[in-house]
Amino acid sequence: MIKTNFLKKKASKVRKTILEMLYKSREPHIGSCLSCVEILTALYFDILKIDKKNPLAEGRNRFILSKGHAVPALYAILAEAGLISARDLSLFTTNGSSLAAHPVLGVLNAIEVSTGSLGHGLAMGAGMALVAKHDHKDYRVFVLLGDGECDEGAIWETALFASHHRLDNLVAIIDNNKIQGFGRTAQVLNLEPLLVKWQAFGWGGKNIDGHNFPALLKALKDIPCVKGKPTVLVAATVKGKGVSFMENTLLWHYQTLDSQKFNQAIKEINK
Amino acid sequence: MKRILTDTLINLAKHDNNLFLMSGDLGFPFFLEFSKLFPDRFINAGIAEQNMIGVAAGLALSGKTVFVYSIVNFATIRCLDQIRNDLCYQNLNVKIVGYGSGLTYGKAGATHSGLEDIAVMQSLPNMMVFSPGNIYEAERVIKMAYESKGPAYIRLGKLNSNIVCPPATGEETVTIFVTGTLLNEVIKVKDLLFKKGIFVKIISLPIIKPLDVEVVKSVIKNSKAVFTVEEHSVVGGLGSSIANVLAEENINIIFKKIGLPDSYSKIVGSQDYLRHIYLLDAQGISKTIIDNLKNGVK
Repeated sequence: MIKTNFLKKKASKVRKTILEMLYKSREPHIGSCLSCVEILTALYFDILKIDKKNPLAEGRNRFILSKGHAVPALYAILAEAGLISARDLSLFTTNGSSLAAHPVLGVLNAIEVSTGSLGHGLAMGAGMALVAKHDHKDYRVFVLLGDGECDEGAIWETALFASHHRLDNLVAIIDNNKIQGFGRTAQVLNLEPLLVKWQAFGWGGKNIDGHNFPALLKALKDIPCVKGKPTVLVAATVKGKGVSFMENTLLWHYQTLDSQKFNQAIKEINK
Repeated sequence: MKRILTDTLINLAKHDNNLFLMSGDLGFPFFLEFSKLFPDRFINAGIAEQNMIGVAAGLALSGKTVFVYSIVNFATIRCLDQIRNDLCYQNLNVKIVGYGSGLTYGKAGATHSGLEDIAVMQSLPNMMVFSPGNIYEAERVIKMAYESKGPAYIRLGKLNSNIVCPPATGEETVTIFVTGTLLNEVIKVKDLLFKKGIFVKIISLPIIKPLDVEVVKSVIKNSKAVFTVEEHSVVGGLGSSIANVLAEENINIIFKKIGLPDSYSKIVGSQDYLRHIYLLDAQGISKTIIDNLKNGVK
């Protein structure tokens, strides 16, 4: 309970940081960032256990943000976890800065992999997981995918590959916020039954509530979900979570914040 | 060139536990030896090239050097987005080997013709591009790719030639730059043209990118004409690269790119047959050179 309250507070701070970054930068994808805040908070404050003094230690657990457009959420969590500084955040997408609106390998010693073109992160994660097996290392690789990202054929190539090679140190987390470019995922290109598809590809996994910390922590610790298989967590989330006028709307995939909307959003997070 | 590839990789892998070989379900049976010697470092990724490149990137991000293998187009164009973003953008140690340069698979139709791969690969930042003409060059470029940091593309052909460029005498007035296994034909061209009183210097260029501009400039110093020969589209290959050098260095000279036309072949046939049809055999190349020398007013 104490841990849950701690994580909830962290999540609120991260949400505010995201809103501040996206208000200042006038960048989009607010909804995509807000839906994965609890997932990132659980990872960075309990699961990954990254050594601040040596964040790139060889045996570290790896995290790959395959839905790269949510990088403001990643920067915000990295700052909250003390892996980058608050000053770094102010550089987000500014002229001449290296903090792009998608992750770039090596930036601030904290980004594992460059992403931005959807459907790439899982394969790179599988390669890392394969090396852990080969070199007898016990690190795990966590990859955060968007549900819309699962439209990409490359995801399913990797789904086959990872189960074939029994990469039970690989974890795919799907931020299943059910909205993509043109509207409801069910209407754009239906993915359901999503978990069943992954299971048919040889993965173990479960459906979880992607905003519920006890559920997230339990699932992220219970790895592999099925012995000898890679794990998929289909995390039910709400696009735009935490700001009433953003929740479950397509608009906030694109819309940028004006001062009135920004203040209103912050007020809601502070509640 | 498959033999020299496997021999060289086995040799390298014996001395480097971090060398991995991945294949897109091609290379049977000649990768069997590698897979038996190093079963945990040979990965057949199945017929899934996008994933193969991504996994190779993950291996490289974890300190491994990876060779990936498939037929030219499937190793390059099929998974171009992964090559660009995973390998080149992140500048990773993954070496792509494409087998079947140009018209190697001439009977298979244009899906299998290596027409645009050099153009596409050499446009990518950080990517080195190699196209060996004989077994010595093949071994050399495989080792170069292995030793250099970052991504590389190695384009291999069928011919296991051990014929090397004849040395220049200094009397030549025509220079031919050639890349890949057409080297053999170009060596015959030298003899054919010699009989007509045309002295030709042959420069084989197995390293297309980075192109050694100084070498190119120095070898053509006393030439009145320059020709490029490649089993690749005339768009964006070696010929285009040499043309860039001539234009940027203000070298006013007779110049002709000899290669495959900017089109997909409507006919099929053996490599020799199609080379003949597309004027890429020794006779055809000689004819193009003679015609251009006649027409050249410079």
